[in-house]
Amino acid sequence: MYSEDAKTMARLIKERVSIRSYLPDPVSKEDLDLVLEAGRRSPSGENAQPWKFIVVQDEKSRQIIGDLARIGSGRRFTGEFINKTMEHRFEGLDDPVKKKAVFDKLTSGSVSAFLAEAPLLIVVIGDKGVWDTPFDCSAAIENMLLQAQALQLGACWVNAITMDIRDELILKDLLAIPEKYKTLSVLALGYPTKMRGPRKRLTMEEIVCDEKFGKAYVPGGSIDV
Amino acid sequence: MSRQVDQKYFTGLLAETFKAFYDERGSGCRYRCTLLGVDGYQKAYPENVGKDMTVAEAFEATKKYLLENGVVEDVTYTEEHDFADVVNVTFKNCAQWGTEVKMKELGIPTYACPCANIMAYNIEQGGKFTTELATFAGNKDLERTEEGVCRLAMSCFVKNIGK
Repeated sequence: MYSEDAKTMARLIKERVSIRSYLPDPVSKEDLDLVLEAGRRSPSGENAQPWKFIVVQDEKSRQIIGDLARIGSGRRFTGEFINKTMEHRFEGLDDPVKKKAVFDKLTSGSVSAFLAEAPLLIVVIGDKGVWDTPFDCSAAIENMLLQAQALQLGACWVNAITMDIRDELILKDLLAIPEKYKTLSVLALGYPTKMRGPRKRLTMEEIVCDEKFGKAYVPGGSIDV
Repeated sequence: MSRQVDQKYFTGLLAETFKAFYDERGSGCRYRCTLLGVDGYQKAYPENVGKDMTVAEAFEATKKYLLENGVVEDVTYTEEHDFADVVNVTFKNCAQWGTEVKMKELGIPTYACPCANIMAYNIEQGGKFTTELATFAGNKDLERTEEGVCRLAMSCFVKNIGK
């Protein structure tokens, strides 16, 4: 019923997951170029193409970016602990040892520090003078993620480092990003140490509405490709 | 001819601006406002920019600025050293309170505190520390907060970048 192209695309989307552990091998130039080309071909309002992609492979820069991500992530989770809103993260986790491990990982920020270990980072920035910059750049990031998946590269879309204006300013200074650009996100790329299965997703009925909000849409055909 | 504009006009306008940003960015807007208020402080006290301060010194510098500019009537602080280093600060009769009330009317939570940002900036600017504003009274606690008193807790961390 579906074409081979449709099946391939559906499979790539279904199997794509965030990968945070990479082999030390550098990403090949061919693979990198195809990923960047996927970004370049992304949809853009009025074809403004407000994006620029900064490829970062320098070890010292990656280390600083990893530290910034760790700090940003760690302080937000510590804030959650102090203001007592962290409990929901431990729902369904009864083992005290595992609970402690998760707690330590979150409050230390190590959950985001893997950026330093990725052999290559693509920092996505967008022209603030374009209306659709956040949307266009997000589309470019997703295109690059899917191309990376097709190349069997591991990738992770990280916002921890650009969420807080204080961190964004340090990153802009590090990479000499002009004031006119907003730093959207960092994309980590590398060959994965291991692949893993997709995470559980909400059902179609939970997220799709039929005509108006609140009336669940019921899928009719088979989406299991 | 001089003209007086009702303070409520600016208070309301500021609250509406906060709402417009909140409607666009959702709760993420909080982290886009962590430097709000800092520019004015830097211009008022250029000698303090980049100065390495202890938490106590950062508090005194913040207090001086806020009192001299009539932003608050009083500021006090205590430190806790437990799981994390936490600074508890209390501001009395902050000039932003009217904006908080209006924001609550508009149905959005408090997500930015310029007074806290200046305190955080003073702690951070030496380069050793970073901070997280863990709690602040804000308008969700409006009914429960003692009249005119706003309390916040800020955790402090050693930065260690590129080490």
